[in-house]
Amino acid sequence: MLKVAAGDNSAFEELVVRYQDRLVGFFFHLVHDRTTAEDLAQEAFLRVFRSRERYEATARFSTWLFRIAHNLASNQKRGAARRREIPLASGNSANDLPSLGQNLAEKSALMPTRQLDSSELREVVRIAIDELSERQRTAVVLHKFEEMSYEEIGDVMGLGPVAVKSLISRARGKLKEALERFV
Amino acid sequence: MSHPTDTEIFDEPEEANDPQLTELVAYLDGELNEEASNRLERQLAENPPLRGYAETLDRTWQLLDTLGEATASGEFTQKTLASLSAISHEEFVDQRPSSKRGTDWVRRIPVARIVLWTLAGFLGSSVGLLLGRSSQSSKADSEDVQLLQQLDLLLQFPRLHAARSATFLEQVTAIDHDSSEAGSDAVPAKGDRKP
Repeated sequence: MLKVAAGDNSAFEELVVRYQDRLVGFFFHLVHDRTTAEDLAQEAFLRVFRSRERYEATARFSTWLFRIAHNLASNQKRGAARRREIPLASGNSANDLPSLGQNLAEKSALMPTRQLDSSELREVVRIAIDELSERQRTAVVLHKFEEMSYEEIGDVMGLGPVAVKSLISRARGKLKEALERFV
Repeated sequence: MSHPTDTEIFDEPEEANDPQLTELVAYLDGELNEEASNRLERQLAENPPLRGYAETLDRTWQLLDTLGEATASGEFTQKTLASLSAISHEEFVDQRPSSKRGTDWVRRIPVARIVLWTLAGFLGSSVGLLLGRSSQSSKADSEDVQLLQQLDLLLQFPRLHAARSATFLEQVTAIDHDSSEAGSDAVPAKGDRKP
């Protein structure tokens, strides 16, 4: 990254190649859509490039990269929430749209009588993750799929270690409640 | 009771209180120090329900593996680098000397270009009109001066017109000239009357 900051654009290509799968995976687990995940990952890389002169080697590059990605995901989530408000406010009843909680309850009610196939199980897990708060979901994805420590997660999300510990324990408690009947 | 935060959407697990859950999860994640880990392991050994709870926590966590890993598509690198080169070009344009950059916005913004051309046209027309009027005015002034200079001659035009020949007029002019040179104040200078 220091090479990129010094104006070496070819070094940036190396960074893209090295981190693209991790970044796309991170966004994919948050938004569950590959196209959106790639768009967000691309935007994150472009933000990194635009901010290259402000990069300081005090933190690991991956921490800095995921901090940018986390901010981008939060903004995207807020933007999506605002867009959803428009059709709901213009006459569509909120009752017409089943919540993810309802989806999970319906699936859960059907499942115990038989073994779930892998795609059904994946759907149940996806819904359980979606039921977490945005911060819990981010912390879980960073911890589970990026294998980040609590300290690294705190650096990415701007939280202290105690807050991260609490956030993850609550998230895992909720996941246990939602998924224990499937184990 | 405090207001619920975004981390409190669900009820807390009934089987374990919050500090115990936090310690248990931290233990499973390998985030406890050695002393705390040893203490918790003793508790797990002595408390089968707590051990069962910990095992369920661990197994539900493993279920997340079913989501698999998503990777970037084959075109991702090229698309990203293409966007990057567009940014590099923008930055290059922005970094050019200010004398050149100062006029770039005109070329980039069509409306500004149209307004500028219209203003230029208006100014050109105005200047042209002013110059034309000024030229006409000075021409009119010079004609007036000439008429005034020849006023005496014009006043005498009916009589001069009746003269029989140009030779006669020349002779009269010569006489007039002589008398003028003799010091007469009453007669105007000959040159003043000549057309």
